Amino acid sequence: MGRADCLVIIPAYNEEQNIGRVLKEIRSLNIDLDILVVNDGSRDRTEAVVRETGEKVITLPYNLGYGGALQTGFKYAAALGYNCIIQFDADGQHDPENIPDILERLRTGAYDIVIGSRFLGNASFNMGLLKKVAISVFRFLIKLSTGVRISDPTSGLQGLTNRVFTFYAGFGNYPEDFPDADTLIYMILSNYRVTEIPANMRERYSGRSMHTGVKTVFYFVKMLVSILVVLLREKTRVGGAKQCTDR
Amino acid sequence: MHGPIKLIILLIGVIFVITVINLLVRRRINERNSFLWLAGSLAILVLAAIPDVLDIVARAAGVDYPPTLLFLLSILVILYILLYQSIQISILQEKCRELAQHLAIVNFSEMMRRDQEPGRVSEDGEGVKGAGHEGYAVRSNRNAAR
Repeated sequence: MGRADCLVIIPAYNEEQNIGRVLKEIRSLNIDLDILVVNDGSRDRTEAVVRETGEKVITLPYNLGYGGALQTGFKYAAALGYNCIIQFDADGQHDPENIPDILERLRTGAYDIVIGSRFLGNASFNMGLLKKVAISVFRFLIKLSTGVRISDPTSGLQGLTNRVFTFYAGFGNYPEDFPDADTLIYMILSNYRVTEIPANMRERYSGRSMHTGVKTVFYFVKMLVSILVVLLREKTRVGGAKQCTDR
Repeated sequence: MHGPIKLIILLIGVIFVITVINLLVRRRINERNSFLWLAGSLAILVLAAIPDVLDIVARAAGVDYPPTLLFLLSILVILYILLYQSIQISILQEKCRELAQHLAIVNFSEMMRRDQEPGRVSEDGEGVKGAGHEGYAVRSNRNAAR
């Protein structure tokens, strides 16, 4: 069985209605890609739907959350030695047309992390005010702490090189619920090179988004704490051995 | 501290010690976790048996009303135990996640291996006899445990 050098990792939780179409769209690109769906303890037919399409699906015994599901994919990709991975959402919000762009950037060898930014593309998606404010604050904090301008730190559409996901795959190296500005700040400060490409975002096919209402506020505060922790960690690491980056 | 209250506190201390030891014997709590509770229950016993200890310590520390010192110390110990429990829970959660991921990947690899074996039709991986387990934890766990 021939293996592509790039793996698309799709974490899916109760996405039986969307996942089939997402997989079909990615395959219709006609690029040599492997696809791995990480079924995050779904209670619906997500796993069966993926099986029917013939794609790979790893099923977690219980719901680990977005970060935990993604990390499962990273572990798999690291074990099989893929050159790069692309993380893609199962709800149909990401446009597969952006995958070739990300691949192209990754293959230049100049970048370790390529983010599909919703704010550089044709922003055809609706976002609540709360979320907009939150993202602006995260952007500002990233610029302040690293000097790098990232327009969309919350984007789930990312391409990562082997070096990055092998690090993420390590024990305790990836946040359990949602990787965001904190992870990016850490990676940039650890000398990983991050860039963005314009990405199209669409309304999700069906179902509800992960972040809504009060949860957004809680998430925002939690992220602020996470960022603070990352910066404190970085402070204590300076002068000591940079053990995390050199592995 | 005089009369019945002294007796009651002594009794509580004794019950506490017996409970912790009983839990230890029945393996419901491990030695490391029981240590704090044993120390706590012994402290109750000592204070109940020799209440003067509290007065002496309070006077030395400059506390006017000795019972407040007792409350302060108890709350500090309880806070410490709570924090310790939170740390343990965080560690356990992390380990659980690692295990779940590892298990899922190994399961998947095993299923792929079975599917690739010639002459087998096993969509669900069930009913395959004599498939052997030599290839069990395949490549996937090479890095997973790092």
